[in-house]
Amino acid sequence: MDILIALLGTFVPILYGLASASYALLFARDDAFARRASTPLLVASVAVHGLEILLRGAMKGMLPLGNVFESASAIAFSIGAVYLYVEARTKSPMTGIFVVPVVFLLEAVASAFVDRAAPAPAILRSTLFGLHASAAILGYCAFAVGAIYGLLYLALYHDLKSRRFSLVYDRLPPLEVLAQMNIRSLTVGFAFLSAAIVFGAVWVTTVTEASFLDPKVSFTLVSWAVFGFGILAHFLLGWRGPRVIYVSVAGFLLLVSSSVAINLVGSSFHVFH
Amino acid sequence: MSSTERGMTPLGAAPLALTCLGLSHKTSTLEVREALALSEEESAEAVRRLTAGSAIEALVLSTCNRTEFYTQGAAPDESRRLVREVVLGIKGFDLARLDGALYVRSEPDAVRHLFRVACGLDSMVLGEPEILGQVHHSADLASRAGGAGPVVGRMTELAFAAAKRARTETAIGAGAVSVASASVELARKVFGTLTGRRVLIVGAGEAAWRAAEHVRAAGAGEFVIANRGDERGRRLAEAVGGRAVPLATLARELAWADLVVTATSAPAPLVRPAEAREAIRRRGGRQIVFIDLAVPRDVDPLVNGVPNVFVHDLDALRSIVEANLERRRREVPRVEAIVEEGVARFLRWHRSLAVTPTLTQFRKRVEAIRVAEVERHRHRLGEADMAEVEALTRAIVNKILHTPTTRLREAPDELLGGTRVDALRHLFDLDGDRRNGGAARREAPGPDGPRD
Repeated sequence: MDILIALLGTFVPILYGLASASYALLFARDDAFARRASTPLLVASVAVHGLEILLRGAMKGMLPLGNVFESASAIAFSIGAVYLYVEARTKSPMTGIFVVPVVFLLEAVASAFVDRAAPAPAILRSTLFGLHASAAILGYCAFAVGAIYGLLYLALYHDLKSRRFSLVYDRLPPLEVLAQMNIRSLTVGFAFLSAAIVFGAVWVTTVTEASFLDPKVSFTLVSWAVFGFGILAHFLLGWRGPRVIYVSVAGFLLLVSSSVAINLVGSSFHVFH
Repeated sequence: MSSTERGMTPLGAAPLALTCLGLSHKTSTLEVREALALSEEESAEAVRRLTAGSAIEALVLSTCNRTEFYTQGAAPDESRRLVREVVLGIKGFDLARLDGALYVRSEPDAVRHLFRVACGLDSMVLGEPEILGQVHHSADLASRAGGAGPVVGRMTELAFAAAKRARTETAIGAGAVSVASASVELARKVFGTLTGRRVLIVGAGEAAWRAAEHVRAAGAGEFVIANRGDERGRRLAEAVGGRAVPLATLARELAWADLVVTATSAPAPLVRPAEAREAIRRRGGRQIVFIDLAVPRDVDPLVNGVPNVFVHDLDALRSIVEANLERRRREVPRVEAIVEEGVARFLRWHRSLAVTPTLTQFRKRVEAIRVAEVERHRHRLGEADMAEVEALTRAIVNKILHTPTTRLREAPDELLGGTRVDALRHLFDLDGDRRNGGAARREAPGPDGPRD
């Protein structure tokens, strides 16, 4: 079992790498082979990755979210799966180049550093933690997808404004599709992050060394407020176009930079490795 | 004695005897093309006359940009004479008057030419799709007029396949290549689809009509026509199923529209940033696309600076058209490669026509030996054993024949002067069969004959 998981763990980044190269070729040259190969390669990557996560979870007898690398791997898997859904809905594989390499990088780093055999802290073997971590992962994934589509929106918006009809203009889906992807991801991500905060708040009362004053919690609450403001501005104040996009990208950058910084400094109870 | 000496055509050297004679927008003036344009009835009549003459099969392709005659079965000079006679008879036009305008393509070059035409490589607007429908129509016409046999049938079938591949695997047909279609492309790049979108057309001149028709064909839902002259505006509104309003209400209508097309001869801009800003405010921030087809411009260029407003003028539209044409031009080598694959496939198929009778005879000869040997031993075997022996010998024969059959079908034997078929005929004495009344005739298979 250990060997199989290790093998899959090595194989998954390679598959994502191949899928990334294929999507790059597709975007740059609209290559016929890449058009046929990109989606099947990504489907295979996500499927093998899902199997690897399942086996890892089965071996540990808990959700495989015990440390930052396992979480990164789970986020990579979720983004890959969400992207496949988006691709099927929009019927355009041209945005894959902006998503799949992110998945590849996340998984490559996670796979290189994760200690698959390390026993998980007993504290993490709780249902509440499972719910909290799963909701957080899905929220991060949705915000990441939203930020990527938000940046693509800005690139196309800029091309249309400046009348520069580059590859971006040629290949990207329409502006309104990108805007919808952004606001939907933002809304879904906000719902999951809210759930993660609620589960976390309940769970934290059962854990002695945790505190609401934790920097990770503080930064997450600030990000949550930023996202909430973006959603309210869109639905209640009628904000359209780049303004909402800027808010969603800013919220995501805050979320990611605070997570990375806190995990590097290691002063939060959210650091499990 | 070789097959050539016996008066048979060696394998693969069977002449295709295909000639294309024609003229196009690249070689002739519009007056000449008009004089030679054939109606549907005239095209069918031309096919009938060609095949009543020395051509075995014929295809006539006549569009506003080209008139071409494909004949099979006649040598190039004979084909030229025949086409001249037919055109003179139907159009009263002597092709001898058009020395420089006519082109003649023979054998594989004729096939290659049709494939290039079908893929849009020879079109006035590179990669335009209408030509494929026209080739389809000509093939149908030739079929109904009795001109399409196996060669023309297979050639057109593979031309369609090559054109389909070119359109799906390359960008030869991608992007808008006219100002009106570029306007639609731009609006789609913002809204995704124009279905149900509200369109405000400012002006009712020729450019406004053309743009309105394109936008309506793209699925736009509601139209408002704002024009200075009421009557022309009303006529355009009726044509596209919209309502006409006076130009004075333009500022109010802006907030209603998703797409605004302006094409008036007004000397100064009709839409300024303040109006655009107000329109965006009233529509809750939703985007507006302005397509300004007027010179001088109807929309102040500063309007493009208003958030969520996109202004595109003639220069922008032309740069899209030019970029799309350039993209199509870059795809030409890939399409040429598809054409070459198609031509090679056609030629392989044509070669296999020559080898088919020999292979049929070869199989019959070996099968006859098998049956005779099995029969010779029948009296020594029971019923059950016979069934086993039948199955066993059949399997052995099939396995032995498989490789030589495949090799002969796929090999470019004309390079070897047909020596392999000669060797096969000699080794298995297939011409002995023929002398004894066997079936070694060269038979032309139907259109459903061998496929490569």
